[in-house]
Amino acid sequence: MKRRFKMMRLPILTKDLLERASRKRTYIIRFSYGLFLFVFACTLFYGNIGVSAEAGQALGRGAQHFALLMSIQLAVLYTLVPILAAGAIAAEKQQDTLALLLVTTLTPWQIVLQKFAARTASILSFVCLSFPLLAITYTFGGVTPAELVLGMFGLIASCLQLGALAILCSAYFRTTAQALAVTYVVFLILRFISSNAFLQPPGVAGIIFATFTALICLAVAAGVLVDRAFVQSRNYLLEFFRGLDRFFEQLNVLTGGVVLVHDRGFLPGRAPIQWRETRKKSLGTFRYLFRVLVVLEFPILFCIQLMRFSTNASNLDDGGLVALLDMLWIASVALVALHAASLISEERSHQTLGVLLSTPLPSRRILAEKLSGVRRLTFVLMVPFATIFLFEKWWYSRSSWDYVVLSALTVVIYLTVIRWTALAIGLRLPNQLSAIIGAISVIGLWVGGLALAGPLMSYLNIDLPPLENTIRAMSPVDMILAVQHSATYAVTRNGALSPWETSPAATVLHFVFYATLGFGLQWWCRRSADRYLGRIPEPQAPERWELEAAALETAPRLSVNVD
Amino acid sequence: MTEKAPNPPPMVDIRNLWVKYGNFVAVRGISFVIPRGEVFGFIGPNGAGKSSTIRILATLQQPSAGYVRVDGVEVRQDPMKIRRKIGYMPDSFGLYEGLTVREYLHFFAAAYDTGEDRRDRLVDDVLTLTDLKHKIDTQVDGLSRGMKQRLGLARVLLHDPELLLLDEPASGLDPRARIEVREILKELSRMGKTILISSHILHELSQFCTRIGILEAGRLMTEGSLEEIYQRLGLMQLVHVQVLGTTDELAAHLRQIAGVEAVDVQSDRLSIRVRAESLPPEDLLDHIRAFGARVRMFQPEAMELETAFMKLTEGTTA
Repeated sequence: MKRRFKMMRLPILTKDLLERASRKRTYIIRFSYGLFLFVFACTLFYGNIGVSAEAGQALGRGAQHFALLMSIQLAVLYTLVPILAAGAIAAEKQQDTLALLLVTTLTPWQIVLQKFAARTASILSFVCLSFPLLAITYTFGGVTPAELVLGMFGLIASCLQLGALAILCSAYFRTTAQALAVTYVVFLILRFISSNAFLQPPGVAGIIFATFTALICLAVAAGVLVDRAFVQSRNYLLEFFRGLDRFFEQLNVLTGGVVLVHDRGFLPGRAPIQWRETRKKSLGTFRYLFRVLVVLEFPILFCIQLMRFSTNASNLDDGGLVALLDMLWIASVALVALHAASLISEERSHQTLGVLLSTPLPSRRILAEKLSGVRRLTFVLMVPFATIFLFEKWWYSRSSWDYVVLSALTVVIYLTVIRWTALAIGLRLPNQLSAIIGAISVIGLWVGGLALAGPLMSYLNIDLPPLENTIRAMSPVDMILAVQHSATYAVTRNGALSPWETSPAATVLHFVFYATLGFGLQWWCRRSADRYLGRIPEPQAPERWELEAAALETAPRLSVNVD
Repeated sequence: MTEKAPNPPPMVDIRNLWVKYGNFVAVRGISFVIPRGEVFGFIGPNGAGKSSTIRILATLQQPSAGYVRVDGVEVRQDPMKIRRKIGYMPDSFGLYEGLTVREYLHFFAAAYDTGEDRRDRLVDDVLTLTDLKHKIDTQVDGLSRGMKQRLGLARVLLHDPELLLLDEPASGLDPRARIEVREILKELSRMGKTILISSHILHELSQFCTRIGILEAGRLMTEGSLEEIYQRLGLMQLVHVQVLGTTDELAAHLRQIAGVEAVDVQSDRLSIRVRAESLPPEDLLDHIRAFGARVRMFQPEAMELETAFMKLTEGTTA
């Protein structure tokens, strides 16, 4: 009875923990991650040398193992904490249940702290999973007890900092998707301020900074909880672009009304969904996409000019441009995946899909028109890619066009595959947030998994050359890097060959595989559109119901059915 | 001799419809017909299966078993043809943000493939009918809830559908907005549209529905015109009677009379269930007087839609 009374004083924490405990996926995820971590650690500890007499060779390797395990834990934390915590309060707002909490005797501080405790409790269990493994790294030598303790505290502090930030965003924004996106962006900025090494645990100063920011975040969250409880949903990107519209219109008074881009088509013609996607969406409207293009293109052109006018002897070094190319890839993949995954799930979340599906628009056409905005975005993203590729072709004076053709293929094929993958996931999942997380997770696991599998096999001395070669051949990241290096190293390292020159068959196989995957996904989406959108499909063949209907035709009709 | 044209099929013909979600059975073998031009009121508690049935008619869901026809076309046979015939308004629906009323209606006019030259006039007509013409350039997310419902009605009328499927069109509206929606529906009924409307507001349904179906726990408890239902329920109409003196003998006498179904002797009254078509309340009164009883109170229960609903349903869900 006493225990029950204690539990009742923390109703939100109790409810959240009970909810999580009743979900099967909680245990599946925890078990899967624990299994992965322990199998990985065992391979790491014993994979090279076993437990034989030569085990002594491993002495002193503890620091490497420790760093690797910490990196994995931090990567998992950075991915999972926002996903688990960003919906804590925002989901209550979306379900109109936050008001019910606010009218109780619970103070905003109590609500925020209980939400924070509930969400971080589950993630701390993930953190604790690694403690025994970290302790084992100590036995290998190379890690001091102080580093070990500091590492553990660093993990906990990072978890609390990110969790508190997610709770603040959740209290401030209306939707979980907005809270999630802002959490990631702000956390990246915070990490860059506090430490240069992203996947290394914070030091003493970092732990103090993380704890301090966590407290600040929780205090601000409690402060804004009531004021932001009934805030309406807003499209911040669209509002930002509209703000820019007003600014440019004011400027136009000075310039005499110069308009570079006229948005044509005031009302929808024959393709209404396409009209909405390309006229009313922030990432589909030409005028707004042009601004995205300027934001992406400007630093690239700036970097190119720096390289051209550099008087330094090492002006062949294109490190800045390569960094921009990497960022462009990440931004492009994220933008295309987010946009494509949201297309259908957004209609579901906003309850507009049912009405749209009751119109006579065929499902294939709905999908095709829905994708028109993403296609337009993809074309716009191709411009900065083309700028970099053509500049490097000219800059390094390569005689063959391998580099440009292969680079163009990577952009066109990979972005197409990502577009259809994200759309397929958006078709299957019930809401916008799960669609976005699902799409990013699948693409991240696929791309990251293939990119890391090869180096990891080498690190662990797993000697299976055919498997390692196949993984490397299928990895998009390896292909992008190989193509990029073939341009740079052609000059700086005496003519590195392009993938086409080193292995034409593997290159063709790689692109054929991804092109086929893209077409396959496209075919599946179109074929399954009726089913996953949620409407009765066009008849394919006589079915069971037709026989039943024929039987009912001859049966006497009942106007009233009373059991 | 001119050949007689065949009778057109009923607008809605549902036979032995079952809807299942996994192990959960939402609709259990219901059957009913809605003739053309009728306004069919679909009544039932939450979870009775109304929305599931309407979603199937709107071709948004497969029946688990049974047979559903709209204007003679089975929903699985040619769903696209049915979509051109229906106008569907779900119980809760969102409106696209960032569109004006004009853009919203043009969007759906284009979705129904109406000619671009006709759209301005169509939009004008439906806005006039729903009294929203003055809001034509207002953002849809800035409209009040009542206006959004009227805009939803304007949308379903754009392609001049033969059948309107309206799932709780008046839910959550204030009294004025409810009356406005009701008036629009009456006008549509006068225009000859077939309407299937589900609602919880029984009194309003009884004012303009020509047929009613009462659904509970996935079963159709009764269906027919209001008169038919009243008559059907009147078969067991309850009459409360207070008489002076002994009641047991009177009860025994009444049980012998043809048309009396049951007599319940309560502390201060007799509750008599009678079949109204064979024993109207006035005849029952004559029998009681003929027995010599002095009547203090004679009260046949008024049969209204709400009474019928309460009598037929127990508040259970599927």
